[in-house]
Amino acid sequence: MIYISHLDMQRMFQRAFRRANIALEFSQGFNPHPKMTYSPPLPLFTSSDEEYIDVAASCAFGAAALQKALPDGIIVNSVRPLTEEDVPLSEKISTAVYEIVLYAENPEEACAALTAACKESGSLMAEKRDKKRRMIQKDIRPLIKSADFRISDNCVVCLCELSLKNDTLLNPHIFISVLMMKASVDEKKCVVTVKKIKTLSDGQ
Amino acid sequence: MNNEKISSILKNVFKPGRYTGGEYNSARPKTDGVKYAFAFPDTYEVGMSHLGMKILYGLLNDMDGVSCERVFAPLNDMAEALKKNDLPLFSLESHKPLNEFDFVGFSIQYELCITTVLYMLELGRIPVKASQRSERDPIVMAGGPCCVNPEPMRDFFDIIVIGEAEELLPRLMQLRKTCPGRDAYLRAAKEIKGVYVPALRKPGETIQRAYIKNMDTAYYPQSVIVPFLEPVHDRLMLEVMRGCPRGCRFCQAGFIYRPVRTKSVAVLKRQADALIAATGYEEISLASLSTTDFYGCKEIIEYLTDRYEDEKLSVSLPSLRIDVSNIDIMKQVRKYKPGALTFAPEAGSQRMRDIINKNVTEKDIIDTLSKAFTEGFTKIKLYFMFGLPYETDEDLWAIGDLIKKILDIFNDMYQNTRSISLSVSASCFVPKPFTPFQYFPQCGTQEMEHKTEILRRAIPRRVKLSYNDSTLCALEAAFARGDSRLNAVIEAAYRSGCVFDAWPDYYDEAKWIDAFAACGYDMRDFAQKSYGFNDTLPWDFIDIGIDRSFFEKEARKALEAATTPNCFERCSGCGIQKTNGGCRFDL
Repeated sequence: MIYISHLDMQRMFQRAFRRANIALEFSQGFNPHPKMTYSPPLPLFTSSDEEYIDVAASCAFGAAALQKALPDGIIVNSVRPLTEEDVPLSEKISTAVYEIVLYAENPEEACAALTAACKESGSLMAEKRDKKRRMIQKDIRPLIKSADFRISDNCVVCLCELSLKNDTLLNPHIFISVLMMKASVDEKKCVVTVKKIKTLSDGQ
Repeated sequence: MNNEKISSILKNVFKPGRYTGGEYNSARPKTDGVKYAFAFPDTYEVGMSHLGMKILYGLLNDMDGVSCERVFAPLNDMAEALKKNDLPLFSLESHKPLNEFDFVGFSIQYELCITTVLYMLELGRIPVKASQRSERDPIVMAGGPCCVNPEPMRDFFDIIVIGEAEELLPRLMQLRKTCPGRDAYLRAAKEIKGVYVPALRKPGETIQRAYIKNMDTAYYPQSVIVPFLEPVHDRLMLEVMRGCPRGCRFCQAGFIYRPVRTKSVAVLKRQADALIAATGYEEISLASLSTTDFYGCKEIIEYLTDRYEDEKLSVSLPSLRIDVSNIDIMKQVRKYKPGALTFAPEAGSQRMRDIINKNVTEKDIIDTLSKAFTEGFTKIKLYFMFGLPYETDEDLWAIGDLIKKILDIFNDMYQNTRSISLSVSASCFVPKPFTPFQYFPQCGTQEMEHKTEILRRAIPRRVKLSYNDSTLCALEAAFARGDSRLNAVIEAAYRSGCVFDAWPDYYDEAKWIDAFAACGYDMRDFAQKSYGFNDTLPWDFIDIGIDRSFFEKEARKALEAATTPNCFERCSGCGIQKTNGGCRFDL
């Protein structure tokens, strides 16, 4: 699953709904397509314990019906109908909790360095591309809600909460590129998993 | 197989989804039994568009005691990564090394994929030559339309299947259970109709083509894999008919798939319902060589568009026969995907169309396109060929005249209120075995260039004109019409680095010319060879069921620009009616 791109996933979900006989509402116009909104796409090679999809269906359906129609590796955690209180998905999502496993020659040293770097109050500059694809410097400190580091199995495991709001989204790999400047960790080997996606109501 | 190594490789190659498997409806291989690897000598995206593999994959996996997995040609970055990590080419379903299968079956859909076959064998740690394989190596097989002239690749395969595999392949699998030893197995396999074992062929022996008699009872899968990645053709394929009644003289498929066999509409409805439910595809294509000749075409289209209206199912057809009534059919299918209408006039002058036995008049073309324009179709694609037998410069200028006529009709109708999108594709003719034109040489490179120059000048600039690489065409002709001397050339070319030859950015003409020269030949010896009606042809020992005298008769008629009616109209006694006990058509 981690090798499949977001666009491929979208196509896959559309077909899964058809297989499950869950009728979706279509958009109008020349090229009608099912109305579905996704939480921000994961970078490639990231697995996730939690993702959200808002979908316009003609009738209610249960998780089991959809689960049967999905390929191995995707689990439907829950399905609930949206109510009038619900805002669009893009406005609802606030942060994501990631588990990042980092490899270092000296894990203790790296762990200490990273904990110190994240406790500092100054800016944490990262290089990223802006909308016009130019390289710019951006302070990512405000986009990091929390970051904890510990040692496990000779690796440095980071549990962090990063902004997932559309305009201020912090891609975990950019966070990792900044960490790499603060401690010597292996840039090729790191495993990223999304543990949770938090919404404004901090519940779902 | 080392899963950690594979994971680390997959994170560093382009489009790793090509190699991972796990798609919805992909098979879970059984732990015991016969293990078959279906190898498609091209990338995942091309191979997953191939209907034959979908049928055989389902067929084999549905058998007791047989498992079928898929392997595709890895791109350079993946091949390098495999070599660097000392890993063999592996299957998608269980990541099994290719050389651990009992059978590896290649589908040879076009002549230029042979070097890619060798590339996959070598990456899979299987000796490329049949003579070098031993008991522990898989039985390597080939099938597909190019196998009707098997000699140019005979050295690389233990078995070459001539014809259709639905009934033959299960027999070959069952045989494995009773003949576990390689030699005994090949000796027994050779007795099955349609099986060619190159190593065991005796002089004078004929191999007969195998084909299924009844399309309704033949196996067809009830579900197919839904890929994650986007294949070239990303839709369901429902085969409605096999064979074609038209008998166009350049077309190999029209002869090697005789007689025409259709499925009943009742069976098609059942198969379509099962496939749509099992896959959730939003588009279904009615596949055959000439779908509008299928008597049930309108009925099945109506069924699908009505029954699946809420689901907004798109129905598509391959290239249309040029006939006014087909426009009505297209009105029904265009609801959700208003794409281009594709027609293949192939020739610009009536004389040329009669030479190739297209049985289409200029009036047919004008009427059909006029109706298309009236109904609001403005995207048209036309296929033409050049380099055909007896072609003159006038015939090529006539293509330009025909196109100009079509543009005038459109402009008269719409008076500049709408614009037409007209694209024209011109391919160089490749004479193929088992066609009336099998005796004719392909025209030389200079002649080809002269002809394309005329087309460039004859066709109005605002029409999008594309034509294929002339040197690639020459190589295709050499392989289509060649003999066993080509085996050495193929190996030499592969060893010098040739692979993915059908892809223009991989094809290396210089390397191929050198490979031919190293073996003492020239591509033109094969591509431009002229055969007399009484000469022995390298594919004579294959009996597809059509009399050679029929091809000769048709070739002579071509010289007179005389036409032959289609099979539905009147039987011309090609010979297939003998083995078939007469040809019966539902009309």
